[in-house]
Amino acid sequence: MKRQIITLVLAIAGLSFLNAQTTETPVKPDSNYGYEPIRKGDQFIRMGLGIGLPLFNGSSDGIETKTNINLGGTGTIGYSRFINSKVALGGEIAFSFNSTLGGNLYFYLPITFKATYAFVFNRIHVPVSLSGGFAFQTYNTTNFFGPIIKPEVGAYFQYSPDWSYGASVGWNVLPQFYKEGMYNRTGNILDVVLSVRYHF
Amino acid sequence: MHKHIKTGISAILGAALLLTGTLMMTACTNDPIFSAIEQEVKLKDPSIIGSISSLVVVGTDIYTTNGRIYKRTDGQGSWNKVGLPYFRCAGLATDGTNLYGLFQNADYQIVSFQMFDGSVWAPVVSPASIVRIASGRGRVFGFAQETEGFTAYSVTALTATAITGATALAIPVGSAVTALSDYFATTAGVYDAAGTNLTCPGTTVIGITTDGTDLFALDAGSVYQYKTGVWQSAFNHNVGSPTCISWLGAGKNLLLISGAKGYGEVILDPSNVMTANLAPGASDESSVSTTAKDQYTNSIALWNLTSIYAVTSPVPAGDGYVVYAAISNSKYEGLWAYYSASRNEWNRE
Repeated sequence: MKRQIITLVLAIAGLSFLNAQTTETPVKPDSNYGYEPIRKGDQFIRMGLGIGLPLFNGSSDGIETKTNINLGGTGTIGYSRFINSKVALGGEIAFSFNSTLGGNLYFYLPITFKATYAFVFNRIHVPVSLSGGFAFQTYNTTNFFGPIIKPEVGAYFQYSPDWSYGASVGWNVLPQFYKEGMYNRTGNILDVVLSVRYHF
Repeated sequence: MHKHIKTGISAILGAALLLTGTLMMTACTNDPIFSAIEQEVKLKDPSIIGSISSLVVVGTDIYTTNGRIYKRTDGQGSWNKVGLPYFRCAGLATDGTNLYGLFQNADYQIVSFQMFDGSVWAPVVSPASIVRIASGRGRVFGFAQETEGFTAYSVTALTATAITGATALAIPVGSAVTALSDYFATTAGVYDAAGTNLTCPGTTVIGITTDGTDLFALDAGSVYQYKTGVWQSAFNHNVGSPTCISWLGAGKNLLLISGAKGYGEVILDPSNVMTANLAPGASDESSVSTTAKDQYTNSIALWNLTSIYAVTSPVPAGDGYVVYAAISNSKYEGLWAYYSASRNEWNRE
């Protein structure tokens, strides 16, 4: 009888243990092993050098293709931060110059806010951006502080987690408005820039 | 994906809104840039570079010098070099018929004073100390540097004769030939051909010109008109660091005053009274057409003009006048010109 009682107790204890094991087994979290090329909070600094090709001036009389502005140079440096996996916000400053027909120099320094939407194709990133801000402009002794808007598209190869390099094409739209409307012009200068981006 | 696109659109709309606000605030009173650049012209290759010290008209020929001597016939076409009797030319003048030149050796010492009749140079019998010359009426003025100052000479043909009493003069700065007489100026005053001091009220005379009748003497701040033997009230010319004065006829009746930044204009009314200052290109009265104002503003107006010359004859057919300017600038130095009809732009000669 004594042996039967001990056997029963052990059996109950074993069942209880088994039952306890069943109820306390932790649930494994779902793991996502999908590759995220861009994550919220990603940041990068872009530096570029390129050329500035004047296209035309817009005025109340239409389009003037004889701008008398020659091919120039440009350099940019900017910072952006992704607010989600597709959209980045940031700013950029550029130093651009073009010689003119008469041997003078047109220089402009845009300081812009920049919004970028990034398309990703494997290791190729295609950012489409729109920048807006102000541009300090000088020509001979004349200075002008005016607005600038710049749509831009680029293509970058993600060489490593830290570095990507590529090129972009940007369209600088530079309105100049004056009290005397006859002088109003909107300059259009196309930038083609080779850039590197440092990601962190 | 849609959420991302929505966020992107919001950011872009934000940028566009910022830009719109900016556009509304930036209508500007500054000088234009893009429209000014549209007015620029392609610069010619320079034909006469360097420091231009003189430009004189002899008959149908125009002569100028930057050390070499250049000649242009009938006011158009190429500038052709004229052979030099010495190393370089230091200055030119004319008696109305012949060209006169002062010449230096390789050490830039003035060593000869010569007359050119259009084909050959001949030395003028004159003191070796003549270091400056100026055009006169049927003569040139020579100025010999003596210990006590300059002595003025009247040079006719190949002979220099001292002008009585015109000794111990200050630094010569130019001359003017009217319809009836001729005058010269020093920094201390204006003198007639006999050497009589006309007691110009200007403080330090910089230049002198004439409209054919009256004299106009220039100093740092004003122009003084000598009319019927009396100096009129000073007229403020508003030209910074003036260097030269010239009168432009040909229906304009303007005084052109070169300076540190381009040149200024003074309008003379039909009675030849100085009435107003004018910026080149500011109105139809100017020597520069209103359509060329921006081109002037972004070229000549930026540079130091050491002298300015208004030439009404000889000029190309169809032109009423040509304004020549001597530019002192490391990049654009040399002789520039504006043609009233055939070339409404300032450009290199």
